[in-house]
Amino acid sequence: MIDSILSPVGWQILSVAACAAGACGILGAQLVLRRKAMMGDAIAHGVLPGLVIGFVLSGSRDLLPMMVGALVAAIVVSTVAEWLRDRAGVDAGAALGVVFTSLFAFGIILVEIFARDVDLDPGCVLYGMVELAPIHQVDWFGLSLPRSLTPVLGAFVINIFASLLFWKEWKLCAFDPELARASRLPFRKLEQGLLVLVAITSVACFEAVGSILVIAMLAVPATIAHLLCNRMSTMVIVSTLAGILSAVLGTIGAERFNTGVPGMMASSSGLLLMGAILLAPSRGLIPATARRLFWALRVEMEDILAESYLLSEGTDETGDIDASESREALPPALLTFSSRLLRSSAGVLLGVRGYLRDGVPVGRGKRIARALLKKRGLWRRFAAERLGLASDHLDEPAHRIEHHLDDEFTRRIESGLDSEES
Amino acid sequence: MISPNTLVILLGTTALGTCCGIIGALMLLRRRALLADAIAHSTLPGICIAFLLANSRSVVALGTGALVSALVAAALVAWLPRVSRIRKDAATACVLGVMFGAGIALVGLIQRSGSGGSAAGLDGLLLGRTAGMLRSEALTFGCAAIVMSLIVFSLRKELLVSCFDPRFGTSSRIPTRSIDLLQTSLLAATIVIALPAVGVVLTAALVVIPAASARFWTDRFDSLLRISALLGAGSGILGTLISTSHPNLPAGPVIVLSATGFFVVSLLLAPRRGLLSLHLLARSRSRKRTIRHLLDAILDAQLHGQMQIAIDEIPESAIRTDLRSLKYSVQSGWVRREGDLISLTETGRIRATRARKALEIWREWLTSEASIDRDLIDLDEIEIEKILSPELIDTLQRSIDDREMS
Amino acid sequence: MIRPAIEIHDLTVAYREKPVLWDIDAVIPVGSLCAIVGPNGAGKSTLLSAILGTIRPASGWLKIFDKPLDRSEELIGFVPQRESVDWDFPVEVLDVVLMGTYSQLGWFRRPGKAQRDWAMECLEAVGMTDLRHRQVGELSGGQQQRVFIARALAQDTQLILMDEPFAGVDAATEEAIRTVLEDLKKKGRTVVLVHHDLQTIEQFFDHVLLLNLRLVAAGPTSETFTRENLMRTYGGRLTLLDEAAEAVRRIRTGRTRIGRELE
Repeated sequence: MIDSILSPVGWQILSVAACAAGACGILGAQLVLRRKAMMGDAIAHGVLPGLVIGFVLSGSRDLLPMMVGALVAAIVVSTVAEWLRDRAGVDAGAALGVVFTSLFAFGIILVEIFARDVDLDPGCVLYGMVELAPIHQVDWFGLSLPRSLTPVLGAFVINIFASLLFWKEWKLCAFDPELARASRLPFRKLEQGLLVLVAITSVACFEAVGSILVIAMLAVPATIAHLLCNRMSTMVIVSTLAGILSAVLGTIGAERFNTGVPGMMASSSGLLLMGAILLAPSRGLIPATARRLFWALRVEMEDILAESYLLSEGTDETGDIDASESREALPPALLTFSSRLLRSSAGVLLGVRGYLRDGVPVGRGKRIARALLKKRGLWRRFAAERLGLASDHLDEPAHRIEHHLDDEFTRRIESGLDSEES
Repeated sequence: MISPNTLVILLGTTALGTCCGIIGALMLLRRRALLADAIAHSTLPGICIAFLLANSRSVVALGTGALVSALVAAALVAWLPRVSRIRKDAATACVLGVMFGAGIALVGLIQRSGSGGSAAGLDGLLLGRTAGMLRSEALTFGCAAIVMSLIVFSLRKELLVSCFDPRFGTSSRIPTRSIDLLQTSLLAATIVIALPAVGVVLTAALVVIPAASARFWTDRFDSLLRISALLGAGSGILGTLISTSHPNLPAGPVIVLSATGFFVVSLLLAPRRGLLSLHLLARSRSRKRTIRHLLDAILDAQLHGQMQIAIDEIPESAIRTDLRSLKYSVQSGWVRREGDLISLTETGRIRATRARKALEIWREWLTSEASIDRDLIDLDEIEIEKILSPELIDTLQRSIDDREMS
Repeated sequence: MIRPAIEIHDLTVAYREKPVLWDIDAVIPVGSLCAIVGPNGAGKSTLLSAILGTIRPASGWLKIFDKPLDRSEELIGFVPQRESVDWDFPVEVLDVVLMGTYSQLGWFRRPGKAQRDWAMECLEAVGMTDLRHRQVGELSGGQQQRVFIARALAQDTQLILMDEPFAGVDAATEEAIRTVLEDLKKKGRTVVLVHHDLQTIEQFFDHVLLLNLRLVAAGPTSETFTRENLMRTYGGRLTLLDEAAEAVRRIRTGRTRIGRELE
């Protein structure tokens, strides 16, 4: 169906998909920050009766009446769910669930009654028709563009403007609703406005990409951004970009595997999310594990250097430490397999780097060993004198902590101990 | 009147409603109502993969695929918030969106790869087809309902603890984690069984709505489960009856709307938690408060030597513009009214004096007693009268007097 | 030598890489009424969780009645902080107290008359029998706390942990809890509780554990609860240790460059 991503047809499909994803991505960031990610799902399902009523009343598949109907339905979803939660004491999730599933059921019945013979099967709402985008064309300033680009592009632009306009207000509402309420902001209106925008966006995207995509695109790119960013501004941008990226990947994937674009977009956004969970620079699972491993290796290497230094020198030049105080190595049988592996790989690494030759630290290895021993001594004195730790407790924690002391901190301990003595 | 075919459907939907009601109540108590929605949507990729692998539409194959997929979804929703900063709601929405999207992609793949004709059945999963329910399916639902009731009945205390206070459960050596897993598996199984009959979204509805309705009627764990099961079964019966008498109405959505009907009824009419009784309570309180203020105002005038008082002299808060509180007081024999002048009867005087004294003593006690339960400070004037019996007032009076003496 | 109820050795606990308890070493003897005292964020509740076994220590070990925690058969009674549960939950007071008997019942069995009577007895001890059929959300804060205490009593354990039972309660509840504590002491039970009110420590507790990220002091109240120790617990002398904890966390989460030696 799609010849190539670079063909004119491919471009048109991609542009529709990317605008839809971008529009959802911007708003999704706001929803995720407010812990309302499920709102996208609820609105995407709940607007069905509105769409149908709009369709029946106007008798055409024009976008405007359906959009109006859907907007009303979306407002009903959010208002009624909130009202049930606040006034009738229904659990928030259950309130949302009751409202949107009921509306969806109602919508299906309406479809069965009124729209049976017309082309408004629920499937169309679910899957969308992005592949058919190039078929209906409109002229825009002499450019021939797909008709379904108009609503999604419109939604994208509106969302960008709204985000810029209400930036600080939304930020406050998301971060500290109590303060927002107290500080004379029209809190309810702002939040309602956000949900209205969500509704506009989802309706605009329905025709092009279907409701599944709206659900996925409101939640997933924003969650990716939440994993990667620590500021709302970067988060909104990353969320938008992640949405567009999944549109690109989805379009390519759909061609590759010969299937629908929306489904592939949702799937590729899922892959991106998995990637973010595993690889996010500071919090990702793999970097965190790698860092921990690297750290353990470093501790092990430093320990080996220090021990062999003590063994080879007998006494320390600084005079603080003597060999008898060094850590008692556990008998090899008691070491777990992983720690033995760690130790031997640390040893190999030291050999490769040339820090340790024939069990004696040389060159930089020697310097490292000395620095460590000095820190160990300092920390022990600090722990014993300033923190009052019992002497039989010093070994274990001291042994761990000394590896963590950077130069600045070491200096502070040193000066602290000195001032004590003087 | 009821054809055998309808009877089968009736049995099936009743059992299904019971199942969903029970598990829904448990999910509501764990505040995981929307997990049902996510799991229901997430079954789709499993079904498609099973279809591709087994190359048949056998119930066992597709069911296994759906169950595996559902469990993966539940595990992901639980796992994501633990390993990253993703919150519970975002995890639910992401799993739902991605897995359902993947399912749709797979459906497209199947449809376009030639075996299109047989894939049509997969589409039916979205909306379900209650009308074509087979006898065997109805039997499955019946068995599921029985098994579910048995499990919940025999593990009542374990379920209760792990829903209410999991940390305490751990201290009592109750394996709250396994119980948690059991609950989620039951939910997944229920959804997988219900899917062909009512479809993706409506299964979630049957799990969420009866439980939310039942919460209005009771403050007890066991009755919540029971009422929720009953309401689920009731929705099944009502929905089936309506849809069989109106042939062009699809059964699934009608069942859900029946459940919604029960929800609205519960919301409005349930004792204590229902909106009507909340409204009545608020009204009776405000009326009692107005009457109290009215009697108090007249008493005030009497204490200043004025035996009768004109209606317009009474402050707005004590009489309201419609004079209803005044009429009520006259009827109850607390107030005598002569034209525009009103005065207290003997019973009215006693009543007003007692209320005033109770309030005074209460306030004094509050100020003298430093460490008092914070919740008691916010008590309504009306409640104070109810709580403080004449004897208790005497005791309080004495304790305050003693303190002042010493 | 007094038999220890809890023996803590070298215990270090870390949340998300940041150590919140450093190297705790303490012994709480059987039959003592022990208060854990320290400023906010000192790791008091964390210590309780470690004793309960709900969080795993990063290093060190714990013994309950001479047995390592993971092999201990002994049940531990527990009174959580009031905010830790959903009070809108549909259970009655008596039901909550009955939860205390669940561990003795085992799988599938439901509480019977014996358990019911026992639960009533425990409710009686905190003076709440009249309210046994109330839904828990309809109780005042102090009454909710008493329900939790009754539940811990129903567990009937040798060791009971309480997380700030006196926080924000009224005079009547305070009195009720005190009576319960005295009774427990008479029966030779060990009670460990997190406590805020320094005024009442000497009056009620025979053992204190002064905590601020690390153990400042532990022992009989008369010897341990001194002005100097309190200064060390609440004073600013520990900031350096706190900074060390933060530094460890930063390094482990990759926020700062680590030492340059090996690069």
